[in-house]
Amino acid sequence: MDRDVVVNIENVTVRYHHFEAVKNISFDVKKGDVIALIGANGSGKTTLIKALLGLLRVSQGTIWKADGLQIGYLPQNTSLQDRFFPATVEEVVSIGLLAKRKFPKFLNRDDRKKILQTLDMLRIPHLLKKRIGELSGGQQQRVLLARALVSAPEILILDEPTSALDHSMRKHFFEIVKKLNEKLNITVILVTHDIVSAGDYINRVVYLDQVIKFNDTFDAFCEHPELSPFVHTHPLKHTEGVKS
Amino acid sequence: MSFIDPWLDVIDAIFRYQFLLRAIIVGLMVAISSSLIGSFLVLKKFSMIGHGLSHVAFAGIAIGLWLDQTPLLVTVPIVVLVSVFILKLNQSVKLHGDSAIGLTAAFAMALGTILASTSGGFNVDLYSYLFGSILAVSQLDLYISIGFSAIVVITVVLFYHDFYAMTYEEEFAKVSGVKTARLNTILAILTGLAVVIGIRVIGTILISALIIFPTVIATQFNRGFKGTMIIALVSSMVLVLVGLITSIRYDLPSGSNIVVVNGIVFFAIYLYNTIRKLSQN
Ligand SMILES: Nc1ncnc2c1ncn2[C@@H]1O[C@H](COP(=O)(O)OP(=O)(O)O)[C@@H](O)[C@H]1O
Ligand SMILES: [Mg+2]
Repeated sequence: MDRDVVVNIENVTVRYHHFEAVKNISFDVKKGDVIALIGANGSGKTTLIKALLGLLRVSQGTIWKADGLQIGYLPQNTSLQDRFFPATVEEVVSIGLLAKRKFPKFLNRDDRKKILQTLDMLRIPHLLKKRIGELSGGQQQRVLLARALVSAPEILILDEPTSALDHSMRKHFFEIVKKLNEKLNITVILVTHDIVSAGDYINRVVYLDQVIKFNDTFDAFCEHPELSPFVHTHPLKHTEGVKS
Repeated sequence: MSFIDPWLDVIDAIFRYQFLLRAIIVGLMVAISSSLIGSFLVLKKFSMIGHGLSHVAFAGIAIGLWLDQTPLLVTVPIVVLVSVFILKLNQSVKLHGDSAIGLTAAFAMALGTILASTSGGFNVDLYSYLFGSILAVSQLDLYISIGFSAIVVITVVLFYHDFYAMTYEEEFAKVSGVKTARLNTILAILTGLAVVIGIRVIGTILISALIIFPTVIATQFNRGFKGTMIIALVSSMVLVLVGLITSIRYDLPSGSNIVVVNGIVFFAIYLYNTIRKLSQN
């Protein structure tokens, strides 16, 4: 049986002024997919994701999303820059719960429990009352993942989520994503360089370089004569055990 | 005479003379609304809009005096409209935030000065609007400030979480369904109101300080967002009170005095934190 399509991207082009960041992009996301979106820096991954989220207007083509699709979003390296912003971990994660909600938006006891459970799952419950600026990059990344997860989304969109994590955290991170995908059937779009760590449960690789250069299974990607070096020569593969 | 007596006389006078009581109430309204709005503006790194609007308020007052109308009533729509205008300029790709504010401020100041000179120069009235004057607080000013700060407080409480989410990370808030465009417009309008409330007691020149200082003082305490806002609110009220009472006691310009009190407290706390950090290392 064919699984439901939850996102359909049809011939999409996104421009910044006259510069075409991505061109003629078409692909479907089906329920339960784990899609790795890869490509060099500047190849248009973040642009495509922002268009999908409605943050950027598409200049051409259409993006269709299933009605009422609940999206959990982990942006690329944001909020990590301002160390002095006064917000506790609980307050940051609460955005993921309350921003979506109808008026009035106040935390109740259930919400607090959900926040704590999500932090628990990510092994950082003790950080609840800490100010986010005091945390390490890896801890902040997990807090932002908690913010994306806390509302129990149907699809997770993660833009380079492991860039600030060390190797063991990275493995743990991918295990969590895998579990979410297998147990709760959450669809995942994963922008990553670390396709090796993520490999065994990715069911599709989309390789982007302004246009889509490749869109097939992980195995097919590994056997591809021109693209497979991306897997084998990628520096992250050789950093096992090294803290980044 | 003891040290205390003159201060007791001041307190006594505040309750005996209507205009002093009015000034105190208006002062507290300024403290409340500008600190609440200031928390969002400062943490959004958009607090210079207060500075820009204070110049626009000056032009508004000059226009009001020139037209021989109640200056504050003329100023309200002008400041609110320009506030929204600056926001839109800021969002247009071709103009960055601080340049939008800078050119608006300079233009308004120039316009205000021209109007003032054609109507006989900087008279006493205009001067009192520039630096604030507690003697000049009228019954109308009192009603305007109470009404406007009620609007500010109610809006901020009702939409607290949306304002906070947008301040923390606008894109994420937008993705989550927060109507950020509308919310930014509301924030611009409230900023306009907060600036206008401050004109009588603080004066147009110094009002932006009351938008910035409370939040900057509060962030020194390392709390979360809500905690920081509450500290900003309380410290703003206390410092405005202290500033007003000392200005009555020593017959100093009220606006300047309030700003100086804020400045001293900020530097004291900053110094304390720095010394403590150094002694820990
Ligand atoms: N706001 C912007 N304005 C103009 N050009 C941009 C903007 N954001 C990204 N770009 C350009 O678009 C291209 C794709 O960027 P991006 O989507 O961030 O790539 P990636 O996420 O794959 O590293 C790059 O050449 C980048 O310089
Ligand atoms: Mg990117």
